[in-house]
Amino acid sequence: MTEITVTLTKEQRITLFRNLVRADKFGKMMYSRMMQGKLIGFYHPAEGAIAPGVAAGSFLTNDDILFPHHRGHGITHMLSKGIDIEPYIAEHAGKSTGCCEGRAAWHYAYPDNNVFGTTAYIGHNFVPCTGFGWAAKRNNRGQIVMNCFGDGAMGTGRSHEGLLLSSNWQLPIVHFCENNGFAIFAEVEEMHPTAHLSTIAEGLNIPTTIVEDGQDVFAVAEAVMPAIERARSGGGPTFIEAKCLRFKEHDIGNRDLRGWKPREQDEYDAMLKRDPVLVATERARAESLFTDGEIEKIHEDAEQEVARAVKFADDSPVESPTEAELMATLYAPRDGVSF
Amino acid sequence: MSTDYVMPKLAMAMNEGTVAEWLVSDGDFVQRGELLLTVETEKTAYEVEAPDSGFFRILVGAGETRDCGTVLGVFYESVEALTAPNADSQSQTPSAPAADTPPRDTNATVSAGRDTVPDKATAAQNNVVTSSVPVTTGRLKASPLAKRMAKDAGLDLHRMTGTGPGGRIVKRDVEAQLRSQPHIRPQSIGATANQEDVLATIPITGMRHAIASRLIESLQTTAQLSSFWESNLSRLLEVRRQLVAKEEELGTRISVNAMLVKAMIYGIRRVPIANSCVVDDQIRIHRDVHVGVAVSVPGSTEYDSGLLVPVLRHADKLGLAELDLAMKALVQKAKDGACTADDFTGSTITFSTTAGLAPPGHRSTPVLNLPNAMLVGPSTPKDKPWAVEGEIKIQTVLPVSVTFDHRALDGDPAVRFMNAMHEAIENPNLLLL
Amino acid sequence: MRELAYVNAIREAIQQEMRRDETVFVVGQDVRGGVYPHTLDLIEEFGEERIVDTPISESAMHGTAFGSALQGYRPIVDFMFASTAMTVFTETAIMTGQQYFLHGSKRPVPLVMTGAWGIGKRTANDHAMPIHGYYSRAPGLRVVIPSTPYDAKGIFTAAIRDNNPVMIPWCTGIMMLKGDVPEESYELPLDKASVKRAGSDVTVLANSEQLQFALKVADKLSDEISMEVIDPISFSPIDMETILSSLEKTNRIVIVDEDWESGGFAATVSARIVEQAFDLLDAPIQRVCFPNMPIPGGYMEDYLRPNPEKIESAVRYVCA
Repeated sequence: MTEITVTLTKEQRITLFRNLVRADKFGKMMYSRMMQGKLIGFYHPAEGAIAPGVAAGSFLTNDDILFPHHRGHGITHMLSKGIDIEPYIAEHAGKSTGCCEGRAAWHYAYPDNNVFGTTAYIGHNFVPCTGFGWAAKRNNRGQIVMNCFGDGAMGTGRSHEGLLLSSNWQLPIVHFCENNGFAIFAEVEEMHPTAHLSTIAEGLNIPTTIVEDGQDVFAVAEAVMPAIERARSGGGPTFIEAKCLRFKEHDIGNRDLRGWKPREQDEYDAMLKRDPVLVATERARAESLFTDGEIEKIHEDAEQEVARAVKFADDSPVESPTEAELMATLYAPRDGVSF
Repeated sequence: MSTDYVMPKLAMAMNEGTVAEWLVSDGDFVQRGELLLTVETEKTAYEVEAPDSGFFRILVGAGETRDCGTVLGVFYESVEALTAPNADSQSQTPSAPAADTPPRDTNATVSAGRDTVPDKATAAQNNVVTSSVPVTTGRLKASPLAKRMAKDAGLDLHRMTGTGPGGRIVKRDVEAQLRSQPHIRPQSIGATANQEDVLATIPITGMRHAIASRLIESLQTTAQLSSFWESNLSRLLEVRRQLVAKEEELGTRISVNAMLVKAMIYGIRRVPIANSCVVDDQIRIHRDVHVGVAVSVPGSTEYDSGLLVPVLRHADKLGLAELDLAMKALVQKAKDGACTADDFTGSTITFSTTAGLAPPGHRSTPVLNLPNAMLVGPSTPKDKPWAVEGEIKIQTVLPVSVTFDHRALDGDPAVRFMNAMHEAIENPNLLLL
Repeated sequence: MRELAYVNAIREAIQQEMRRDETVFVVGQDVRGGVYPHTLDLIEEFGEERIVDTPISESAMHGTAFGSALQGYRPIVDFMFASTAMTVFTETAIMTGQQYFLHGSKRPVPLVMTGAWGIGKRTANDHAMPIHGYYSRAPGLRVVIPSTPYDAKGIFTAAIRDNNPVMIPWCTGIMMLKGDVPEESYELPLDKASVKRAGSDVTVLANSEQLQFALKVADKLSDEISMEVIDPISFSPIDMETILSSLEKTNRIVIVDEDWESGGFAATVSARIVEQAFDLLDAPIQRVCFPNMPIPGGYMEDYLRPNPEKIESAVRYVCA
């Protein structure tokens, strides 16, 4: 295994920090909107566990393909990749100005940004990602695939099959496992026999990297960037396991259990000290990356961006196309379709 | 509670079976597993066990062939149920698939139909002319298509016989009906004069429906035409006067009508094809003469009338007095509403007089009474100048119209029949033959 | 015209489309070696980049097709046996079917899924089962079955060029059926039924080997009953227009399908006829299908499956 080490530039750190703050504001806004009844469906909050997604998404090109992790409904990864967030919130509000015309609820797709939708079928990401990787390799233009999933997905047969083919065919895929320790309530320690999930990939001869502190966005990025580079340069797949913390319950309204017992208050108290924005701010200050004024500006910008997107979603009408109108869009036409 | 017993399907290839023999008697209590009947198919005969227990009513007699699934009998829970009025003609919930069960009363005449025609008089009216239009009562089975076609054409499915599986009325049955009886109801002409102007509304149902449909069928399906002549009635009236003088001895006041029927029979003896019916692409010339006698009866209101054609049987075997008595009795029976279905079946020729009702010298073009090929329609005589042995004298002259079916009779036999009848009217001696 | 066996007509369609369009490729298990003849020797012409073998990993195998289709490729994913696709039903039916519509009808999924099925080969349920009934319940998929060599080539060609996921389960019972097939490339509509024999007394719908049976029965009864035999071809969406125009003429219908009797094509068509054309019926609709039991191996399938005798009996029943 060739070791690739990177040192993040100041510009890259600023990008990461900005995206982290944006993701945090978005997540909190989504949580409160869900509580206000303004979101449709479920919401699976990512709060606390946003550093891996920001690191995974921030340095992808538009041509790269992203399968976002479902937690936070992918906003962390997708806004880092550069999607337009206004249609995102509109979609989650059931508006026809949504990125999927109000049909997807939270299973977003942004084909123009090479994001093709998430799903409720955990582990399903390995299915299309195999094909994305196959196409990227054959396209031979340096396109890579960022395949994000949680520890729960590693229990599925699909994950085995996807890892197997990516290794066989040396596909340009970064398998990015955000191990927050829980699949709903189930603890990873109980559901998996090894200390690290990456051992599964190791068994299939895939290079692996473990990020023990997945709360530190800079640390995760330092692991992600070499994997992207390896894939882009024809080096095949990498499996990254970033260990992170889930601050909230699995989905809003559910209980927050460890196994089948409530998590202890001590656990919450300890976790909050490892808030990814707090960790990144401390590191930025310690390393004198930005001034306090710059940090404040980043927060203000993010709040305004969120406010604009919320207004867009609220102002968008709810449209009710007829059954016939919808039926007419069930099948793709022969002509006028672009890839 | 009752359970239908249907023609069992005893082999894959079996579509119908014949009831060879019932092994129980009608009304018996039958135990499940007991031998019930023998069913014959093309291949073999089967002794079939009773699938249920109960008091058994036999509905289909030995020798009859029925489609598989057709109801052959009914198991009743009790004797009371078995003997309840109309028990066996009631529409029951079939235990067999509904598609295989025929309407119970497909071939029943209207007298059995309680739900459409409750009283006897109406029953008779429904059998006006002949009883060849069976009326279905009970649950009607017709395909969706047949129902729609019948509705569109204004046809009554209850008056059709289903030839589909289990007696279902299907497309071909409606088409057959349409061919023979197209649309008796007048087409709606939209908004008519205001409703207050309508003196009475007579629904075209019951007897009116029967008259309308039968006469339209007659006009639509035969090649009928009418001919007329006049006969000098003077000698016949002279003979009648002598007979009327013997009224007491004869037991009846001989009518002109009876003598005219005698003249008609004379014509038939000379030209037998005048006494024929057209049935199923066949012309059947009859030996015996059964005369359908048209009788005007009261209608449903003071404005309309009814028309019945009861049959005077074996008119050719009767002497003049017998014939006169029989004819008068028949007309009275019809007017009393006492005729049964049998009274309306089997005429071979029709006699329809308007004498006394129509103006003197009146002629008409009567409509044939199916399936008879000949109708004789004398009307009211008229005194008029007439050449008698080279001199002009005032004579009583009878106008006679006949209508005949050209499918059966060409002009040659038809005019020979008319001429023979004319001869008998003018020479009443011939009526002795 | 030149005669070709059904399975070779499929092969010719794939070969011609692969020559015409670089984005077309085949992925499956042992497609290089060609377990069935429709991919036989294509490896020689197109190489391993376009005739792709996978391990026995159906979800990733299908994923290769699904993901690359979203990237503009036109994959044909060959499940060898159609029933194998059922092992990854979520991926093949649900995810693939909903992808385009649920995401705003923007990026289509142009892929072909195929595999063989066939009752009457003594193979029992796993190999024999028809799957079109299951897949026709997944909105967004096209489910088509061509039943003649001519149709096989035209349907596969059209399916490869179509911008939607198309499931084509083909029947081994007619694998070697020969028929006229033009050498040049051509397409047939994917959503239209095909009248295989005109008639006036009864409409009979039949596909695959049952189509051959139905045509034989039509010959046999030609003096008594005029059967109109229609191959539905498309099981999703169903071409009701062709079926109903035939029914307007015949007023009677028998639906033959080797799929199970419950909830499949025959049930759907029956329901739609009752809903949309109740007044056209002059006899009850009859279905000739497989009874609701797993398809046993051995000789039992001969009398359990639809066959010419059952078709004839149903035709006679509705024409009685």
